[in-house]
Amino acid sequence: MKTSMLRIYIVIIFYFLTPELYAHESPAELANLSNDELSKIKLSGHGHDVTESRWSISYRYRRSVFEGYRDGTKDIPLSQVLFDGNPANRTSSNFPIVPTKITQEAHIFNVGYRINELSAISVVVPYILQSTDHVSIIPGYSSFEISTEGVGDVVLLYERDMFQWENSLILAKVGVSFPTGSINKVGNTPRSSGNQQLPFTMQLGSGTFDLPLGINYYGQHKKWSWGAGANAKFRLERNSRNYHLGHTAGAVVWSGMQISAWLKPVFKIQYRFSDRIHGLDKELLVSQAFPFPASITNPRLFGGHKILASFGFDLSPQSGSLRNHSLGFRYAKPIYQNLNGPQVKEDGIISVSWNLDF
Amino acid sequence: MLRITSRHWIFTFFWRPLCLLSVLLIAICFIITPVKANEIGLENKIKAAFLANFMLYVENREKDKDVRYLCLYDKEKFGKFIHQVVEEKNKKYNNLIVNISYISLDQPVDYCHAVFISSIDTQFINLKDFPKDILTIGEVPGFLLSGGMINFFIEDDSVYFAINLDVMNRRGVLLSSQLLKLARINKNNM
Repeated sequence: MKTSMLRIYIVIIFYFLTPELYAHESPAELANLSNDELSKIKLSGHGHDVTESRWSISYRYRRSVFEGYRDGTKDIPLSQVLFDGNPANRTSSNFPIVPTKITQEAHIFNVGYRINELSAISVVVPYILQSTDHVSIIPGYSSFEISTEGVGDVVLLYERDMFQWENSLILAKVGVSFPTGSINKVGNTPRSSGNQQLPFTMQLGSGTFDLPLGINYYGQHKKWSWGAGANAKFRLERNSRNYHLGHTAGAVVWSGMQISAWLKPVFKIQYRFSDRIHGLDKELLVSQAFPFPASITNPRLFGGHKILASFGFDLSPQSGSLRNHSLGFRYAKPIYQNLNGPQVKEDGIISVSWNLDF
Repeated sequence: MLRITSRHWIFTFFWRPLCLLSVLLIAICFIITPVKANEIGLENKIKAAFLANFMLYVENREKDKDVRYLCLYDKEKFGKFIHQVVEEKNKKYNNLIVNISYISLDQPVDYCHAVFISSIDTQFINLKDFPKDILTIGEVPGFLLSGGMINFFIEDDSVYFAINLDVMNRRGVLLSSQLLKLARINKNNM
């Protein structure tokens, strides 16, 4: 059922994608054609060979830090989450091993191609580095760090202008996320000697084919620009370790003002929902009354609702040799978190991006 | 107070239909689109690109050579697209600026270097009343016979143009030889 749905989804994407691969009709492309070349364009959209393409490459560095604990909307102290060693005090909400700080860094590479005036495709390849500091009551592991790195899940996206007016447009995105990121990362943990399967947070991918969807509105009037959008990511099936990450959904509103020819400050409010993890990775469990040695091994202690406020700016030179380059900087801070806890709460996100159109 | 968390049954029970519904909605949107307010179609886009090219070749002894006006009666036909094409041209040729100017039937066209007359406008315009040195471009059969100078036509699923050299010579419009060698000269019934 799930696999057939994925097939249908991919067919839908490529059905609409394929005919347009031949229809180059952007103003820049046609403006660079001679009369002879213009006469060779077939109105049915085929047989048109243009030399200019609309490529873009971008790089984004993103660093997220998670620190401190929260259950629902209440902060809870580390001492409440760390099991004190007295069996009488052990509950499903305290653990012998407790992550204190999780740092996730991602180097995200994106190659995009504008098929025509209406649509574009892009491939997103993330390289992920993550580390987690822990404290525990296990002898020899009172404090330790685990880190992993590697390529994450590669995403193929197709975006298309759905509606366009004088100063605004609605753009939709659909795609497929491929399970290229590892879900079998191992490391030395207090669970037993040697290397063992690492918790969900230390894995690099989802292990599943996922369906990212999104719809965005962009508007502009004089120096002001604004937008709103909604997005979701659906996980189609359980991975080879018998779980799937939580489905996600989100909404965003933003506004920016071009205060000079090249500088635009941007303010954004973002809502994110993430479902808990479904399924269970049995290798993360211990054979005790309370089988989860750490909160990050319990699939129920993931997900929740978050609202983040972010501020940043875009730098886009309008002329000269850097005309096709743009830089962006953002800092986001959660202003509301309702987590399926106890869970490590998000502290902040910094991202820096660079984009080149050619 | 109801506390909605991600463990709530709504999320666990409805995710599959929600997923399917989202995919179907997006697919339906893609089927009904593109609904663009300014979508002008490939044929008009090609004609717009031709018009921008013609402006590089047309010259007038008595008018400014560096600033050339392409005049249009109809704003909707080429929409914003022709402005974008001309903008690209202007970026490419530093010593030449092409401007788009919208005109009405009762407005003088003397300053125009070229005027495009769409199939809708043709019925209201008498080409013989036009000032002599303006390049007139049309898109209906018989446009050249009625005194027009360049006419677009469709052949083999492509857009071509024909030129009436006699009219151009009589009216003193100068065109580059590069343009002339690509055109169909005095094509029958054009």
